[in-house]
Formats: sequence, C-alpha cells, structure tokens
Amino acid sequence: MVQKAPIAAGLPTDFEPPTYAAPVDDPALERDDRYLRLLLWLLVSAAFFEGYDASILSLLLPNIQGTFHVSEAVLGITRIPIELGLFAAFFVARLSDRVGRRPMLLWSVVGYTVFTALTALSWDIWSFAFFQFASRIFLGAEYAVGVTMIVEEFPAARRARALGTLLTFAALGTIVVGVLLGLGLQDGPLEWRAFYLVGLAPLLVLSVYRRRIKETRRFLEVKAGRVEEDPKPSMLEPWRPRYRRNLVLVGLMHMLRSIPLFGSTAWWAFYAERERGFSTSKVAVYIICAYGLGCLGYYVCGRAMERFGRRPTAMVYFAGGITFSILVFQTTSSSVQFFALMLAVFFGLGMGPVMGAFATELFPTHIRGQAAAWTRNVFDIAGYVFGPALVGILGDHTTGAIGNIGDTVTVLMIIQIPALYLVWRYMPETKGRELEEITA
Amino acid sequence: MKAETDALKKPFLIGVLFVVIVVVILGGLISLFGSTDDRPEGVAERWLTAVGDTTRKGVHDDAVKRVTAHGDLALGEHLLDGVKADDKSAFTTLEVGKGLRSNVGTTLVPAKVVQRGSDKVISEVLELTPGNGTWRVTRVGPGDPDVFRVPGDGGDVAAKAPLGLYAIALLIGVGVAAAASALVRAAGREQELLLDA
Repeated sequence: MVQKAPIAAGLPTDFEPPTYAAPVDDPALERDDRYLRLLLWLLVSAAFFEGYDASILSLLLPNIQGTFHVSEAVLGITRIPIELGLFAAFFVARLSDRVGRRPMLLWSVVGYTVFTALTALSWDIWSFAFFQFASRIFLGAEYAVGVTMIVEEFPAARRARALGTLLTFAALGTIVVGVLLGLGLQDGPLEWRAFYLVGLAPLLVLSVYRRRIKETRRFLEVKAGRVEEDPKPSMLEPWRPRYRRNLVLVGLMHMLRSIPLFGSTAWWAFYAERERGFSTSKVAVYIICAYGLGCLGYYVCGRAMERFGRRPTAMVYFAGGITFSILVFQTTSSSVQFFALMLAVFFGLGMGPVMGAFATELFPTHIRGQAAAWTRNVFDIAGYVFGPALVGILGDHTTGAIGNIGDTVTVLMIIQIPALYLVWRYMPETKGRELEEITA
Repeated sequence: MKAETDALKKPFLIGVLFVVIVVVILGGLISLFGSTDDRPEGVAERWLTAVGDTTRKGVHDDAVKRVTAHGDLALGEHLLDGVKADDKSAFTTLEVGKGLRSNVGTTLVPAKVVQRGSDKVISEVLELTPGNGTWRVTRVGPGDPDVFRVPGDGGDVAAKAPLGLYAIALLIGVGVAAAASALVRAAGREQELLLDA
C-alpha cells in the first residue's frame, strides 16, 4: 500500500489522527531515540524564540518608545507590518514541500538570526519595524517547519508529547524575557538592543549541530517515489458550502478573541509603567509569576474540555479571561493587579487547547490543515495586527480618542462577549465523539 | 470538486475587497474621533521624556530640540541635579497624572520621576499654557501633594473614558454579536439547502 505524506500547512494538534506510520526497511532512514531527542531540542529553540521575540516587543515597549521618540499611536501602527510577517511566513513555510524540510529549517534559522541581529542595529522606528517584519517571516516559517518535522519524524505515540513540549517552550520564552528584565539587561550599555542579540544563540547552536540534522524520512520517501504525496487541496477548499459555516464560526471566534487579547498583552507593560507607576523590576516579577503560574491554564483547560466538554470549558475561560483582564487594566491596587494578572493569563492564554480543538475537530481530515491555517494565519493574525494598533491609536496619551491604555483595553475586551455568544449559540459539542462522526 | 473550488475565486476576491473597505472605513472613523488638539498631560509626558534623554549618549542634540519644542530647557535642569546617568536616560520611572485646568487657560499637570543612579524620587507640577493647537511648559515647581498626585500615588489617570463610552461599547458588542450571528447563518444556508436536497 502506498502511504500518504503530510504537507506543511499549519499547526497539527493532538486531535488529528496519526498522519503516517511507515515501516522502515532502509537503514539510512532509521531514526533512533538519540536523534529524535536531539531533533526535539533543536526544534524547541524555534518555539522558544517565538515566545521570546513577541515578549521583547511587549515588555520593552516603553524603552523602545524612548529610543525612537514616537507616540503610542505610531508604536501601535508599526505593529501592523511587524505582525504581517507571521502571515507571510505561512507561504514561506509551504516552500518546504518543494525544497525539503532540512534546508528550509536551516535557512529560516539563518534568516531569523540575521534580521534579529539587524533589529538591534535599527536607527529609527521604521527600520525597526522592517527588520522585525522580516525576522517574523523566518521565525514563523521555522516554527511551522519544526512542527512538520516533529509530525513526520516522531512515532504517533510520542508526537503529542513532543508538540506539547514545543508549546511549553513558547511560554518559557516570555518568562526568560521577564528574568532578563529583572536582571537589568536593559540597563546595560546596549539597552533593549541586547535582548535582540540573544537571538543570535540559535545560529551558534545550528553551526554546531547543522550536519547532524537529517532530512525527514517522509520527504525522502516522497522524493524517492516510495510514498505518494498528498494532493495539495486548494487554499479555498474550506470555503466550500459544506464547510463554510464552521469556518466562519471558528474564524470569527478566533478573531474576536485575538483582537483584545493581543491588544492587552502587547500593552500591559507600558500601561503598568506609565499609568500605574510600576518600576521595570516590578514588571519583571509580575510577568515571571503570571506566566509561570498562568501556564497551568493550558493544562487545566485540556483536562476540563475532556471532562466537561468543549463548550462549557470555552465559555468559562472566555468569561474568566474578560473579567480578569478588565480587572488588570482597571484596578489601582498592586496586590489585586498581581492576582488578576495571573488569572487573566490563566484564562486568556490558557484557553489555547479548546480553541485549537474548535479549529480542527469540525473539519474532515483532508482539509483540516487548510482550515487550521485559515484560522491561525488569517483570522487569528488579524488580532495580532489590529489589536495592538487599535490600543495604541485610541489610547495615545496626547491625541488618542480615549487617551489612556487601561480604558482602551477595557473597552476592547467587550468585543470578546460576542465570541462567548457564538460558542453558546452555534458551537456543537464534540466531546467524546470520533472525528469521522463529527465531520460526516 | 475542482470546478466547485474554482467557482469560489470570484466571490472570494469580492469578500477580500469588502474586508479591505470595512477596515478603511473603520480606520477613517477612528481618526475622525481622535483628538485634534494635543492633551496637556501627553505633552508634559513627552517633554519630561525629552528632558531625561538629554543625558543619553548620541541623542543629546535631538533631545534638546524636542525639549525646546514644548518649553525652555532651563525649566527642567533641576530635575537632572544629582543624576548618575552613565550615558542613559536620566529617569528610570516617569509618570504623569491628570491635569488641573485653571480658569486662566493654563493646566497644572502632576508628574513624578525617579532619577537614575541616585533613585531620588521627584514629584513636581508642570504648568502648561496653550498656543498654536498644542501646549508649552511654562513653569515647573513643587505642588500640594494632596492635590497633585500621579496614578501610582492614588491620583487620577490623565484621561478617563466616560461611562457612556462603555455603554456604547456594549451596544457595539451587541451589534457585532448580531452581525457575527447573521454571517454564520448566511454561511450555513447553502449547507442547509444541500442537506434538504
């Protein structure tokens, strides 16, 4: 029987059935445990730097503003081209289906490192935005190819754990920025630019291990004609009438969640320093604790959606996320802020697993990757792009219509309420149902 | 199946165009509701940032230019006494509170800075005078700490969204929910017809 190879189309999840399980009779294609461990440790750097890079921009926003002397509105607007890099990354990642996973991974690491180093040399806000846009393209591509390599190289039983490790390291990236902030790296001679030079680390690791990374078995077998390549479905396939309703539903939910979510995460540090008088070290302590404990939200969400179902879990997480985020941006008490921030991260970011389930379970296997790609790369990224921009423009201290960041985020949080309504009104419950039964 | 997907191309392009138009209209509406005049608190914040930047390596001349755009440099010099900047910005913390409008047209804005190196906390009041659609800092001096407080010390934030705005936002939320609901139902109509057939 000729087996099918997966394509690099988006983030697969635990809910997808195994894509491939090839018996290996060619010794050159054998992958022992040692190699898989090495591969995983090399790939987690992609996930780590995705979290790390996004957090520098959020946590050092007042410092970056100070260097380039720009208003909050301009800071917000520059986020639009920067985050569009992640959108472009989707198309770059698809090149790996043609040139191979290994060269794509190596070149994306080189590209990311070069543009991250150039970010440290930015001379104005627009050069900064351009270098960050380019580094986001390569970072996004590196992450997508990394996920594809795990799916193609790891046996089904270990794949979910490997992908879980990858997601955990993204959160760790944020915590490390908090630690470096607490250690005062921004007070050194290079100020915030030193954080971007840390991004050179993947290139150093890669130069040591470059020769030990192999092309994936699936890709080699496709090239050798031993495995039939999956026919690539059209990008528009999930928009066909029979899938359109679910795509619109899931897409709108993701967008209504991501606009206020990324507006708030991008501006919290700025808000805390400029509107609540926090010192940089206090911001660092809050971030380390909030993300450290808030990460439990992922775990609890995963367990709750299996036990109580997707819909009730999503509704509780949406309600918790809205409530505690509003509290974070309204309270004047530092201690209330501390606990509210932890709970906002717990619910707001922690609902990732249930959102991932919605984005994949409602679509049949042959278009699941495409549907997930639309959800992540179009609807979700709309939030990355417009959320921080809206907060910056409306909350600008000098010219913004609202004039402060805290109230602007609070107003935007109200946008999440329609997402809660969509879950309650339209989302089918998929707990305990087989994928074939759901998508029939 | 391919013909069905190909038939989606034209409506898809129309959809993309529609989304672009909506984004442009929203952008226009937001800029329409943006403040046309500068807020004195925002100008005070920028002026203090520029004063702090005068001790930074490589940007001194530019910082002086930005200071003089909104006030005299001499007004802020005492804020730099005792700073050990080490070529960095003079202040590690900078916070501005809600200004008090006087009946002669000036605004008194409370501000707090923490000096780099000495960690000395300085709370001052900036007097701003309007002119040419913006504001100029005309005096910097001490103020009554019970009246002039920054948000970190329990004072009000520079600008506050009126309660009515939250009511409007809730109404917009209801409108978004209704529009999203209509979109989901419209997207599923063809699926329902397929099932009926």
